[in-house]
Amino acid sequence: MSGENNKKDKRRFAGALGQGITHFFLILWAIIVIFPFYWMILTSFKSYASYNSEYVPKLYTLSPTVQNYLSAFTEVPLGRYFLNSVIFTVLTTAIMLVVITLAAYAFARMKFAGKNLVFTIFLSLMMIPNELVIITNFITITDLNLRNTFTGLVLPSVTSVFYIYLLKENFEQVPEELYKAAIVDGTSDFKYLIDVMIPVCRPTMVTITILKVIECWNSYVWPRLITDNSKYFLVSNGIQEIRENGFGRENIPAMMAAVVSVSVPLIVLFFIFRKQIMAGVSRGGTKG
Amino acid sequence: MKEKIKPWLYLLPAVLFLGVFMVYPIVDVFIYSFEEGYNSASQSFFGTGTFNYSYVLHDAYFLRALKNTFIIVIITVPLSTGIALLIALGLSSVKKIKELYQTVFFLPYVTNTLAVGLVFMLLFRKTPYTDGFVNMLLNALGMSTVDFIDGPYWAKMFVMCFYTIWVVMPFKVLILTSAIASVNQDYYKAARVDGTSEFRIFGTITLPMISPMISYLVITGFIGAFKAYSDEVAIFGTDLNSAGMNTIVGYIYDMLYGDSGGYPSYASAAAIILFAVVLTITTINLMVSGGFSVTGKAKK
Amino acid sequence: MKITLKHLTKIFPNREKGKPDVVAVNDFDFSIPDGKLVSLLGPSGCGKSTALNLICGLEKPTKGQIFFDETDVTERSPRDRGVGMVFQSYALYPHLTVRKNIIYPLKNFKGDKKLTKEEMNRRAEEAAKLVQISELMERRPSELSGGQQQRVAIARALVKMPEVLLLDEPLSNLDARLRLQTREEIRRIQQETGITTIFVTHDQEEAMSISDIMVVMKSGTLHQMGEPQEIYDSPANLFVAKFLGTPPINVFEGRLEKGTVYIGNDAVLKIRKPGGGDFSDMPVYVGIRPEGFMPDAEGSFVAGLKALEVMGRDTSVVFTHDDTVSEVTRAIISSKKGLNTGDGVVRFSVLPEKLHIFDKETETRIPFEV
Repeated sequence: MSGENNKKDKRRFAGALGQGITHFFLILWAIIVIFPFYWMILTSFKSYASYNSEYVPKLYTLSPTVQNYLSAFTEVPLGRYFLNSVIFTVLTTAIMLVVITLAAYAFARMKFAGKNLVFTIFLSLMMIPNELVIITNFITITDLNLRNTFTGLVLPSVTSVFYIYLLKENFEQVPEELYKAAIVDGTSDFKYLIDVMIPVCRPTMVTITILKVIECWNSYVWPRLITDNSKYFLVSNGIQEIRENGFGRENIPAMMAAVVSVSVPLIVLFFIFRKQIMAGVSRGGTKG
Repeated sequence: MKEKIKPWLYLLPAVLFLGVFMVYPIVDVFIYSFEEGYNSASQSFFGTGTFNYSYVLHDAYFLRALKNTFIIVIITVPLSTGIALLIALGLSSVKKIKELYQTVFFLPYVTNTLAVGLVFMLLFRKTPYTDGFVNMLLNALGMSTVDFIDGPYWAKMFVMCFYTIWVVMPFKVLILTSAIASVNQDYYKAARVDGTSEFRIFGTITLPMISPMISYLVITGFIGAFKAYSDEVAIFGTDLNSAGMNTIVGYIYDMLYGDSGGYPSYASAAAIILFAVVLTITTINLMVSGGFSVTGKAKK
Repeated sequence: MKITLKHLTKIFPNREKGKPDVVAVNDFDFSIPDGKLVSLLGPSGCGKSTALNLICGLEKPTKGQIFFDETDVTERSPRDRGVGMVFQSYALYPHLTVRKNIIYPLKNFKGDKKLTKEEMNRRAEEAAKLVQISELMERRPSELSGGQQQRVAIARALVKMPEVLLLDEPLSNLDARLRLQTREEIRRIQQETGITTIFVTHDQEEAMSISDIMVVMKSGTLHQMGEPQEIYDSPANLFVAKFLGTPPINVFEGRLEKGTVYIGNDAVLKIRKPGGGDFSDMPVYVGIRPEGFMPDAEGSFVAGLKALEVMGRDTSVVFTHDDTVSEVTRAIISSKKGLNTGDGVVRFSVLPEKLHIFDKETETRIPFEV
């Protein structure tokens, strides 16, 4: 009896030890993930003078100041960058939703000659890397005199084959009988799409919207190519601009205030839609 | 007649945008890459041939970029996939605060990599005024300080790879965690009833079951790492050539636009070389992992 | 509203290349009288749903015409036909409440038919009351049982006051008890509203119990149309005879010899042509309904006893016979009186009205007198 108990205790101990070690490494990684965030927030609240006087950086501050945030929004046009990013994000996401919804509906519900062929061509476009087409797009937009305009920024990214594919799959799961019922009830295709399809597939629509918003907010390469007038910079380019030509002197705390401001909207979005975002990404989002 | 046109009307916007910004550019980029001395201002060129390719392949900057990119790929892809697998296994075995961990681990996915890269730069940088946080740690461990941002090549590469891994980790951890969670629990029960050790369970059940996801991550990881660029800018600034940290994609953009820019032909040739490299590596990957389709994953 | 089908045909191209096209509906040419409940009955895949889709306009016919009263509606879209339809899976909009589901068709009214919000609500409530779901109006479909969802679907079909109501296998997703209940419900609603109703089903019992007129079809072809009892009593052919009735009719290989129906050596019944005259000798199929056997120690029909299944009110006698072509042969008897089971042999006499003979070639029924 006691031997068996002993064995049980041993196993329990081994289990607890295992859990402990696992937690140790998970916490270690969590610290690596969180520390940069902590550091930027911390630095953004240090005063310019105290930051520059710390030869050995301190892990805390006793005299927090919001001066850096004021600097970030007054001494450099961070507000402008914000506004530009919001406009860019809203325009791109809205137009893209219309484009992909219509296309996905055509593929999911309509009958037409050559449907499979067109869909296969669409799918094969998923394999084309952005880097390959960006050169011509840059020249096209330049030739159209659309550099430093929102049109030029938005146009190339208002379609996504992957999201068309994702939405089509979802649309196809809506029972065919619902469509028949709606047709007998006297609905048109378009009204059915608006009244039934979109509301029923709302979770997927929301996921796609959020993922696209994240993508837009963080986009850097295309805006960098297409804008050289800082009036049209988005936040990513703005941060780079602030870093290189920023406050007239290297004002790290103010720079960090700008970095925090740029990061906050998406982090807030993440905490609100955590489940949808993670489910959406695990269903096939990619980064890189 | 109206019924026949209707589907095409629904498809029209997508077809139009894809045609102008995807299909036409693919054709065009090949043409550019074979046109010698194309000038975008006068839209003229003086011959066709493989000159652009040979120029790019003999350009020291391109070779440097090629080397940097390969080093980043070779270090970050296996390392990030391996660490992600360990983290995912850890996550699947802990009982408490699992969701908290998952939330924290996912954070880098939703952050602006340009912005956070700046923080990394600060943490690693050594200036006359401060040694920086990382050097403070190194000193505490009894090591001498290193300038990671303007210092030796290996140090810069270390920061680069560290940051790249930090950025790609959320996606990999998430994919592997859900892959492990989706393994039917009955397999584990059956194995435990048979008295299989935890280690063997991992080798004979978990690993084979999630191996399609691992090869998916390796392939997308390779593709992503070959296109490394904005993470580099985030750490070292826009002038990657002078930092000696340029990548292939960076080279393409520099050729296209920027201080040395205005040469779409060279950019096109470089882009096609990149595409060929990625295609080759992906094909080899697919052959090794025994076939797997991009769409098959989403269909799961 | 009277519905008339004129040479209605629907042909689908075969999805497998090289195979012949599928004739889902073959030359339907009949009328459905106003205010009746008509069921389209047939085994699955016989084209009955296609026929329904043609009538409501979801499919376009390959040939032929459809008339509502005297109006040709063949080219009309579903919305312009004014039909209500109920689907097998109910097809309720999952994101809308019951009330909004019922109102949905009314919102599509255009022009002078357009209704005010109050009118829509009033009509929705009327329809809900008719199917007895008034208290469920604010719920969502996912919060309802299958039977309740079915009622909502019926209310939604009725709310636009259609002149024709189409029901596509409306009961097959319900469990047995609810099916019985809902069946009576549909009958009641149809009688209260007097709407011409077409009901598609593969369940012959359901069709028999609910309909004024039955249309029996198979492989796109109409086999018989008429009142349920009439079809049961005088099936047009062997298929109809076998498809109707539970347990199914027992079929034997037999022959006509000198005006007598023989099964093997058993002379079962003596017959003549309707209105007199003798039949010539020929091979036939003989069908005998299970309730057509009477235990009779002197009976001419002799079979081997396999099992006795007591079912309370009746007793089912499963027996064997050398000349049967049915998988199981059985008789349903109300009393065991006269059933001698001692030597493993049972003897029956046969009720003439429960016996049918069919031509061996064409399988059509041969009418006769006793």
